[in-house]
Amino acid sequence: MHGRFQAPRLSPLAGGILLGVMVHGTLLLSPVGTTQAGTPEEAGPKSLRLVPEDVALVGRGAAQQVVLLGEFADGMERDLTRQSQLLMSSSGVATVDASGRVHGVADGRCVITATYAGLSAISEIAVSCSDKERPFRFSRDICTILTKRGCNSTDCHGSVPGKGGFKLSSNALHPRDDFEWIVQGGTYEVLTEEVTEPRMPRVDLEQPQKSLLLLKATLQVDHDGGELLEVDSADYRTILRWIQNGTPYEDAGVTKDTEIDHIEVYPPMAVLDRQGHRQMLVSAFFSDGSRGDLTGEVAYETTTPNVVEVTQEGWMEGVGFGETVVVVRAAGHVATARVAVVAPSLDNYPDLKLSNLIDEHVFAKLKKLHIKPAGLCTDVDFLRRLCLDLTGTLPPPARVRQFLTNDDARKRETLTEALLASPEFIDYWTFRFSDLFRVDYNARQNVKSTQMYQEWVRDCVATNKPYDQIALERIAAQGNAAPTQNYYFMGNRTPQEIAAEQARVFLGVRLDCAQCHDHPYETWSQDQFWGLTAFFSTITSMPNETMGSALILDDIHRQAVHPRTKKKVQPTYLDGQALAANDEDPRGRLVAWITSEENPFFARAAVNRMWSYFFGRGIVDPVDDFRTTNPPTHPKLLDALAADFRDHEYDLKHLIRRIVSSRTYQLSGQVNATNGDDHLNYSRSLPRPLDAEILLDAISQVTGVDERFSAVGHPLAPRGVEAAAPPGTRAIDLVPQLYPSSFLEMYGRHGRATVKDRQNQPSLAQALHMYAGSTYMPKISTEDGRVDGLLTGGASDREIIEELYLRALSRLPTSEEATQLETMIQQHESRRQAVEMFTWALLTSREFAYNR
Amino acid sequence: MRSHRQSSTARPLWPVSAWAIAGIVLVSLVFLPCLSAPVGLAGEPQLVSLFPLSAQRGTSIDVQVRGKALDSAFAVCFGPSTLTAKVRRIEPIELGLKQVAVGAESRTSRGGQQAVIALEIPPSTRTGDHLIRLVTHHGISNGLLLRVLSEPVIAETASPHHRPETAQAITIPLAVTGAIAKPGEVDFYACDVAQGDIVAIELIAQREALTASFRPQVALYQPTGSWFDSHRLTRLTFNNAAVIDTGRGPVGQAVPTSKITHRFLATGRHLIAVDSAFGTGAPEFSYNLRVTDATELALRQDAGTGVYREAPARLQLAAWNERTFRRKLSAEHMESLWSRTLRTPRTSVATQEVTTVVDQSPALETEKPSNQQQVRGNDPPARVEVSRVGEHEPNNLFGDAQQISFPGIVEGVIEHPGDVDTYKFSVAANSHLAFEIETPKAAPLRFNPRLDVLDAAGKLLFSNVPGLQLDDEGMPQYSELTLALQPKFTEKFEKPGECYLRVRDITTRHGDSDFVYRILIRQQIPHIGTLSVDVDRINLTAGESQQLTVSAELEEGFTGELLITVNGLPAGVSAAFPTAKASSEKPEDEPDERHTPVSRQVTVVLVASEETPASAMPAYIQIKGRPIVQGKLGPRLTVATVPLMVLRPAADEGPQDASLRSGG
Repeated sequence: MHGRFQAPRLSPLAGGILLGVMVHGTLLLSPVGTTQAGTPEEAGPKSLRLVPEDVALVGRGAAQQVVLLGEFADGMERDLTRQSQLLMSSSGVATVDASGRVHGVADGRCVITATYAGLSAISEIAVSCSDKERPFRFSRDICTILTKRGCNSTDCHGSVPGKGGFKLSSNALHPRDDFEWIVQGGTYEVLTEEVTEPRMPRVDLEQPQKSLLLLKATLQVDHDGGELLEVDSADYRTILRWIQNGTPYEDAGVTKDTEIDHIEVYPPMAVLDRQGHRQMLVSAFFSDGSRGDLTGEVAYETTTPNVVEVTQEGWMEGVGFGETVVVVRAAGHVATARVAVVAPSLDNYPDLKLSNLIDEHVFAKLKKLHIKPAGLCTDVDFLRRLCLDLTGTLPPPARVRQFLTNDDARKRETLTEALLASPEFIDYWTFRFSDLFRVDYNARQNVKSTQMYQEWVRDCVATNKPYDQIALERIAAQGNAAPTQNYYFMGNRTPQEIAAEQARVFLGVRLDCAQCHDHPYETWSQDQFWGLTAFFSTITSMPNETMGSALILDDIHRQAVHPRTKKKVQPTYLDGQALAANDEDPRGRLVAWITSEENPFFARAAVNRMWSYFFGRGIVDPVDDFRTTNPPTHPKLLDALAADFRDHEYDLKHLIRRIVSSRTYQLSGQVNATNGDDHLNYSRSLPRPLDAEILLDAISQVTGVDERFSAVGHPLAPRGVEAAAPPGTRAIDLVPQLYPSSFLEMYGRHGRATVKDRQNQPSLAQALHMYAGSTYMPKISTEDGRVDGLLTGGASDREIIEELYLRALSRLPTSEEATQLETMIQQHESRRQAVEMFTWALLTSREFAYNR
Repeated sequence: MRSHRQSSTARPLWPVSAWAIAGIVLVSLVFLPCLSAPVGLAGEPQLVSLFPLSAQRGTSIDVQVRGKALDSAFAVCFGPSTLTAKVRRIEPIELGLKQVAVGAESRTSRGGQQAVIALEIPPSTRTGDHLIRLVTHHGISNGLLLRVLSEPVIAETASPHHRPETAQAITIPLAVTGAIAKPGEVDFYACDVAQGDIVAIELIAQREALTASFRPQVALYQPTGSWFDSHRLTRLTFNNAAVIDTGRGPVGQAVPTSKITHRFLATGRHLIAVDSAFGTGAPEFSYNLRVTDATELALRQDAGTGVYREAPARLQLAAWNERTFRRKLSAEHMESLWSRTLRTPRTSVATQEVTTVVDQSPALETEKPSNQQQVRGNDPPARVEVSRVGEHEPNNLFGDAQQISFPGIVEGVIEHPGDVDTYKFSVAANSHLAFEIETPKAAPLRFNPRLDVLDAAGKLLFSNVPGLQLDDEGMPQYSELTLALQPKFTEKFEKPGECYLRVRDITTRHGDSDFVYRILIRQQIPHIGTLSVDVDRINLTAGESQQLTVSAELEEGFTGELLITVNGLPAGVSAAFPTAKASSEKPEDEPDERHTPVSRQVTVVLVASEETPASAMPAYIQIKGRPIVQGKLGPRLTVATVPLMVLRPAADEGPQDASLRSGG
């Protein structure tokens, strides 16, 4: 056990990658301009710094991990602690071991000096109250052990039902419950606070050493989790002493000031050499503003062990190139660090021209990771990519030729503006947001209401409605306005389903699990979930005499009831603030909270989602799964984009402009020696499969044969009326439930019954459909279709080849391609068949089916 | 309202206490279930659709009438109208709708007929709807409405105009009749406009088609082209009808489904597209598209938006309907209430203060009523003064409440979201008051007025949304019946004192200058409300009978009796009535009268003797009701005028050919 201490001051750059040279607390002993041979690592550090700069150790047994960091010529910071000489100025005040762990001995002040390769750095140590035991708290002293040993992990006793009849709250989120379950027995009940099963205490006050809590953990009796404690270890003795003392929850005089408010990991982002090492530091921030070291009291877990391994002391080792997240669990708290293992630094790293804030963040990280980005994409690639991303439509051949021959230096910006102003942009983003907002149909609703809702989405896009206004209208819709149709004709959704969906869409968080129990992977509690649900429990549907319509209003007398406590729940924001009683506009108030500048979720969730539409993944991915244990790949970029979005009044078109005008977006997909394995850092354009609707529309566009969408099983058909979409209707215009399509279903169309990610994975069914399905060859060989028109219209083989290349791939064939194809057509016994085969090959090619 | 009032579950007809003399029945009003909308009997002629739906007066056109059992149609019959017509030919067709025809055997059959009639529309014909029925050897058909217009009416061209490039050219003003005959069909019309022109585009369809999944919609496009496609259309505005009312209303009624008023921002050719939402289509899906100048309307609207949106007017379901937000509340309204009971005192208006007058109704003369009726303990004054008050802002809080008196009319506007208007008034003990609400500009579903009456302590006493009132445990009293917005409610104030009237939109999100309300507060007037009958025509076979059900709504505690009379019966046909003892007990599940009227039904049986000759043409019978209070007869109230034909049994020959003429 370590005493409470005044925590160290971490670097001002603690939140990000360390690019510069620390000044405060660092002694620059190395001569400026020293030239050294070999690799940067061999050449030695340019400077050293010891973190924390100031160490305050308070209480008996207090300790602090210190780390010596050296900055090298390649911009890397390397952990030199274990190779350095650590010297304490007064061993009577504090001692330090070879791993850099400082222990307080007696009250006083001293200095620790770390020396390496002729450089040194110092930290100041202050020890106080060294003769005072820290007051006991179950929530820290016992729960820390349970957490570090993994007892309360979600695959053990922290799972929803617990394990082996013993339940603990996940990650000690609810120490009061843990205390009861250990001392009195019992387990978690979803629907009641009453204990319905026999209680089995896990402690034995008469014979403390016979307590199940100790016997199981030390494997003195069978334990599925194996041996987690050694008899007589420090943690064993802590638990035993607590039982011997009568299992108090906390010592008298303990105040809330000593509760942990949150924890932080240092560094939050680290870069390691392969086989390089780095010690993590974990700090607790207490309610009274003080800090303490938790480095040795937490559990560490890496999400990709083949990239980084980490010991339970926080000692990381880079084992393979790549990037991973290290999750740190303290009792009741979780934090993460993103860690990359990089190749040796590059000589002559290119000096890139940056377009905007996106590039600043993306390329700074790439440089840090020693990844060289691809070059700018060609005009051909840009044209096709932008057309598909902004309009879901392939550029016509004439526009391709025009763009390629245009010498205007600003032609990309001009094209962007033209597409943003096009009606196709409205069509496409109506489709995108219809997916997100679930423009849906089911048998219980009036088809007209589906149409009203879809029209609302279209209006939002067409008028470039600010996103906070969109949120207001969707979340807080009242009366019979179009967005109210979202609430009433979508399958009688419950308030808790509505709350979970709105949180997922607008806050980017998944709260669903917390409906029945505290979220297993996050700090969302069941109480928070029901507090949010209470904003929606007031929704009342008032039928109107006009068939198929209803009024939506809020009746504040309808209150949510907590499933466990059976008590009415007051609407409560996720930050714990409750809505004033009798407020008649709870949903309006909720939107005000969601869209306020202080809200940490709304803008970030929005820009992250939009980002994913252009890069195939979110900065946080999945895009609606923001949580501590799923950190962003580029947190500062996310924050900067969110701030920019807020500053521009949640203007979606502005955000789109920002993204597509960035160099990051305009990179080519070219692989170089450094970026081949990168799938997270946007060092090159990654090909993205076209969504089912876009693909089908593109096939129709190239072949010149519209898809006819008939309404087999149409909800209106039972009345004896046939239905079909008008000729020329695009797949992106459809409401899925109204127009079933085997092609679209096969290629992963989103059914919109729930908010979910699209599944664009290739399948065997798709492959078979390409060969023998009703889409490709029938369209290609349709009389009066594009191919037929070219064949019968007198076009030469070269003209046919060029036309189809331009239509399908937005480029001309290379001379080699053209020659080979001409030869193939000429040598084939049937010109028509040859051209049709060539067209089929184009449409089934990866180049066509992907946005590259 | 009606749909939420009570169950439509079929029940055996209740025995009726009555005396009947030659087609007259006096009934103690007895509860019977409401029956569904009028339907035809198996084998009766049934019209499904008309084409075209409208015509210009002063013209002659051929009208295609499609339906079932029309093979023997020999005449065309109208209501009161100057129209004349004759049947040109009848041809078998396959109907597009499976379920529009009545009779179990026809539900699975699409076989039908099309009668082509030559219609003469004299220049003197009034504009508006005219009912068309066919007379056949199987009886008279249901009626469908043809709209007579003053502007030119053309039919859609036979040549395809389903794509923008083949759009049919039209001029303004004009009406076009067309049909969405096939699934996925879109009809395009092209018109040339000048910048600043303001045009109204209205789409009308027939109820039968709407019931059968026709979802007509109209959109206005400008052929702007786009970066991708030089022929690309840009949609300027779209079908704005929020809801299609398909469930109620008279058979054959033409229903306005969409109306757009648009100010054009550019000169040039524009396109109007008509189709059915989600691509439904059938030959019976006919529509009437009217494109007219709307400059006058636009002057009253915000000129900045370019698009003006209107909900279609609500349907008037009966000649008398006092439970609608669209009725006009004025002193005359009170007078008309008195006209539906025994006594009719004259009312008058004495304007006290008017600051926001929505509708400048002329003041009525003050005149003493001729006599008085006991009104639930409230003697109507000799001279009824109807005050008229406009709201004064600020009046959101009780402290700012305006004083009003009754009978009186209060006018105000919910000017912005969250606006609340508050008034106060004094009541005597045991006062029986009625509160009526009119929304002259924006009606539900847009403006949804909530009216609360609170006591001096701010406790909610009554509301026009009864379901939002709380029970003793503080919980809302939700039910299918009570959670509805009511345009009228009646209450008894047991204690004297000051009360508050609070008006607002039921939401907190809506409110603007169109959210105008007019509230009439008055003493209750027990009277007969809406009267209706469950048939729209009668085809009676000699030697058989047919049952009619007359429904009467009793308003504000009317406890008298209702005399039903059936006049105009042809020779050989008589009205008969069940003779069993009636029950006057109120059914347990009948809702409280405060928000919905008490409904009572009377059964009338028409009997044709075996010797009754077949009708050459239909006779029109008049069904009337007459309130009786304390033994004294009140005014005659029309229930319905219904065409009746007597048919010979199947073994007999049909009626002689009649001259082809319009019926009366």
